[in-house]
Amino acid sequence: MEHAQPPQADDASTEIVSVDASFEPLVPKFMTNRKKEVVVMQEALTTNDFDTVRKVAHGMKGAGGSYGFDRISEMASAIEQAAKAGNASPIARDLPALSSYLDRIKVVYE
Amino acid sequence: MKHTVLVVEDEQDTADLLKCVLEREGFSVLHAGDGRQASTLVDTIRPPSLVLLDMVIPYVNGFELLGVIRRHPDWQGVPVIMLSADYYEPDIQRALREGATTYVVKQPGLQNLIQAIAHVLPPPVPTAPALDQAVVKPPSPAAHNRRASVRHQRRSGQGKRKAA
Repeated sequence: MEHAQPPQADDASTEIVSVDASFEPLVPKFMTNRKKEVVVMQEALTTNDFDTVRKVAHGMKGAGGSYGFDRISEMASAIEQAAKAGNASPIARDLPALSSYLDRIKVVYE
Repeated sequence: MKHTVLVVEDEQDTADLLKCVLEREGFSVLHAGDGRQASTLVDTIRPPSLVLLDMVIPYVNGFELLGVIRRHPDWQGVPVIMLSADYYEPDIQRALREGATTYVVKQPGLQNLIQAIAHVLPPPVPTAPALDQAVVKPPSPAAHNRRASVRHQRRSGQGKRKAA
């Protein structure tokens, strides 16, 4: 019996994420909005506006979890916790990592 | 008749996903993007079959809105499923203590939410055409007689083969 092979990354930096096929029409907007939110958080961080960072990260955590982007949810959760603590340095470190991760995602619908 | 679900969720992509999943499951969906808008709906529309209430929403938070619903004479009996991005036991206990029917943590595909809804809501009443399709009609007397005749012929045939 032939077994389906797991999807392979195009290159080492690509992050494959499997998402329910019925969500396909929603995913491009989801990705665009997450990238915009990274910019919003970066701007908020420049003025130590931790409340905005916390709110945006909280929303991203829930959305990521619901759509099946667990890594986005994890990274947003870490940013949310740092914002709650008013701790800028982990946020300044994690936002570029989140931005880079979003750019490397390749969605596979199943 | 379709169940109507009021979704109170401020994160637009999550609201869109909830709408997609719920409509796929046969529900009619209303959406409020914050607690203030939801409070207005509580005062102005007929109660839905179910409320899905995000815990963290602007203006009037999830707990406050839960109180508004439970104090409203027409809405107080409506099941409310609290939704959260976190599994945080004190919030769960508080939600249940203050009148939430159950509590669901957002998970990929929201399958756990669909299961929770199935526990909370009775199955939707089928519309007239669906009911008609679902009913298994008894066979007409003519059809019954035709089948009886076939059975009789088969038995007769077997008898003939045995006899031969």
